[in-house]
Amino acid sequence: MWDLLIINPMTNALLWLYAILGNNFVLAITVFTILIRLLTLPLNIRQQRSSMKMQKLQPQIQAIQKKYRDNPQKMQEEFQKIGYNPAETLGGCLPLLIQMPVLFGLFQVLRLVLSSTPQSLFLLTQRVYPGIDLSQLLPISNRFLWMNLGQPDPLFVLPVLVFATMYLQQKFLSPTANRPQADNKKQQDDPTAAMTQSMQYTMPIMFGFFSLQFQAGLSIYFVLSNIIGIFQGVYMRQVMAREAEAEAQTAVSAPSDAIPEPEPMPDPEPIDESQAPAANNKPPKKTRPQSKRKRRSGKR
Amino acid sequence: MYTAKRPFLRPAIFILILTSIFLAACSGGIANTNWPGLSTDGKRIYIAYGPGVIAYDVEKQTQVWSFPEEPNRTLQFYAAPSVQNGRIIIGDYGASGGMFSPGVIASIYALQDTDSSSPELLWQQDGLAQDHIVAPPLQVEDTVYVGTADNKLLALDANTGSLQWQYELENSVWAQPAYKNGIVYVASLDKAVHAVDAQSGNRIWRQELQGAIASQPVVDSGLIYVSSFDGKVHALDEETGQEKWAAEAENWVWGAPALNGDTLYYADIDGNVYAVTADSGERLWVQQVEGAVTASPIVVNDTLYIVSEGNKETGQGVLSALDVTNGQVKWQKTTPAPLFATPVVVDNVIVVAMQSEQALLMAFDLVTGGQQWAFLPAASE
Repeated sequence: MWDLLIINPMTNALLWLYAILGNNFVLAITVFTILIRLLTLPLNIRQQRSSMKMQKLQPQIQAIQKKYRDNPQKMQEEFQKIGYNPAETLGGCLPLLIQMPVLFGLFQVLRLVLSSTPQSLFLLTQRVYPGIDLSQLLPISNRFLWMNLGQPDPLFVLPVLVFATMYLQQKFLSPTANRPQADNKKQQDDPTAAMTQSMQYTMPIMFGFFSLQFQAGLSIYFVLSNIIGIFQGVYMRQVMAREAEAEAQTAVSAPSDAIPEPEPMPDPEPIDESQAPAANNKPPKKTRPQSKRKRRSGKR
Repeated sequence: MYTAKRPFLRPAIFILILTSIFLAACSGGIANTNWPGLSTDGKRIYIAYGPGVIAYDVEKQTQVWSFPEEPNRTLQFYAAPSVQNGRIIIGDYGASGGMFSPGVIASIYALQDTDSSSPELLWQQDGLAQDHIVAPPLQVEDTVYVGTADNKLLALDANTGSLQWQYELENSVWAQPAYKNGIVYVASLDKAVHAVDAQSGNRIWRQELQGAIASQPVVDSGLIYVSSFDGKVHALDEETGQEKWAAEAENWVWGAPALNGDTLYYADIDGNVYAVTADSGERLWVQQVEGAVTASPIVVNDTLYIVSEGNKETGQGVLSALDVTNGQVKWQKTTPAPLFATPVVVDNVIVVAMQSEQALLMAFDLVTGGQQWAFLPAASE
C-alpha cells in the first residue's frame, strides 16, 4: 500500500519531471518540491493563521488556566467563550505530519531512482508506469556540483544550509518571532510559546544532523522546501498585519459592528513562590512586577 | 493539564517520535543492497554477499573462510570476486567515515586463498573509488582491472595494489571488463563500449549504443557481443567498434550473452530466451522462462542453464535447463527466492545464489536437476 500510494507515484513524478526538464535531476527535485509545497500550502496557511490567533489569545488562556486549574470543566467553558480549542494546537503539527510521508518516500525514491545498485535499478523497472521510457532516461545523472546526489554531501555545505534555512523558516513561521525580548520571559510560562521556541532550535538541529547522513538529493529538497517556507512566512506576516490594521480601522469607524472583545480575565491570585511548580519557580528579582501585568490588562 | 510544568517535555517527545518514524521508514523498504556475486576456481565457490566474502568448498560442502573474519556492518560486498591462482581480488560497496565524515570511500582487497578460517590479506587499496564497486574485477596476469560506480576503470598491480592508470568514463561501470590481446574492453551505464590499451590506459575506440550496459562484453574471433538496455544484443567489430549487427529482444537485455560455438544465447527481463547465429544475429529459436532474467546464461555440453526471477506471487526463483538446439525445456527447478545472480558450474553441479533465509547457495545436478546440497552461512541461520 505504501509503495502503491507513495513510492510509485513519487518515483514516476520525479522521472517524468527529469524527462521533461532536460535530464536535470536537481531541476526535477526543485519542481517536485514546489509542487509538494503548493499542495500543502492551504494547510500551511491555515496553520500559520491558527498559530497567530492562539498567540493573540495567550494572555487570556494563561489567566484562565491559572484561575481554573482545579476545575477543568469550567476551564473548558471559559476557553470556549474566548474561542480557544486546545486540540487546535495539535493541528500545528499537521502540515509537518503531512510532509512526513513525502520525506520518508523521497528517501526511498532517491535511492531507487538514482539506482546505486543493480537490485535497486531492477526494482525501479518494476515500478515505472507505462509511458515513461526508462531506457531513454538511463543513466540518471546523479552529479550536482561536487556532490553525488545519492550520497551525503562530503563538504557539509548542505547540512549547514538545511540547519540555517530551517531555523529561518521556523523563525518566520513562528508567531513569536519578532516579539520583544522581554516577552520571551513570559513564554516560559506559556506551553505553546515554549514549544514553539523549543522547536525553533531543535528541529533545525535534528534535520541538520539527518542531512549529515542522508542523500544530498534529500537535503536539497529540505533546503528548497525551507526557502519556500521562509517566503511563505514573510508573506503571511504581511497579509496578517494588513488584516489586523484593517480590523482595527473597522473597529474605530464602526464600533457597533465590531466583534466584542472577551471580557478581560481578572488577574490571578498571587502565587506563593514556595508552593509554585518547578518551571515557575524563579528567583524573586526575575518575577514580573504585578503592576506591569495590571497595566497590560488595562490596555486590553 | 494545560500548565507548562516541563515546557520542553512535549517537544522532546514529539521530536523523539518523529525521529523514530523517520529512521524506521528510511532504514526499511528499498535497501541499498544487491544480489550475491559468485565466482569459482573449479573447486571452491567465492560468494560476495552483504558484510563479507565467503569461500565454500564444494567437495567437502563446508565453509572454509570468511572475510573479514569479524563482519563489519559498515562494509558491504556484492561484486563477484576475481580468482586467479589462489589470489582473490574483491571490491566493497564503500563506507562513509561516520556522521562527521560522510564521504564514501570504497576499498579493493587482495586475499590469498587458504585452508584456515581466515584468508591472508595481501594488500588493501582504499580511496581509489568514492562509490560502490559493483563490477567484478578482472585479473590478467599481474594486473587487475576494476570498474567503479564513480565512472572509472582502474588498472592496479595485482601484487602490490599500486595504481598503474585510470580511465575516466561518463557514467558508472557495473560490468566486469573483458580482455583480449592487450586491449581491455569495458562497457558502462554511459551506453558505450570502450576499448582501452591495457598498458597505457589510453582509449583505442569508443562505440556508443542506444542503451546503458550492465554486463561484461564477450570477445570472440573478431567480434564483441554486448547486451544493452536498448533491448538488443550488439555485435561490434573488435578492431574499430563498428556495429556489425544487432539482434532484437522484447525488453532490456541485462546479463551478458553466452557464446557456444557459432550460436549466441541471451535473455531479456521479460523472461524471453533467444538463440541467434553468432556471425549474423539471425534468430534460431526463442523460449520463455518465468520472470525476469538479469543473469547471464551458461552453456554446458548441450544444455543452456538460465536463472530467472520466477513467480512474483510465490517469490520463488526458477532454474531452467534448455536444449541448446531448440530451446526445449529439459527440466526446471524452483528455489526459495528469486534468482538474479549468474550461477557457477563446479564439477557436475550448477550452483545458484539467492537472498533467502533458507539458503544462500543451492546446487543442482547438471543432468537431472536434482538438488545436491544447500548452504546457509552460520551467521544467517
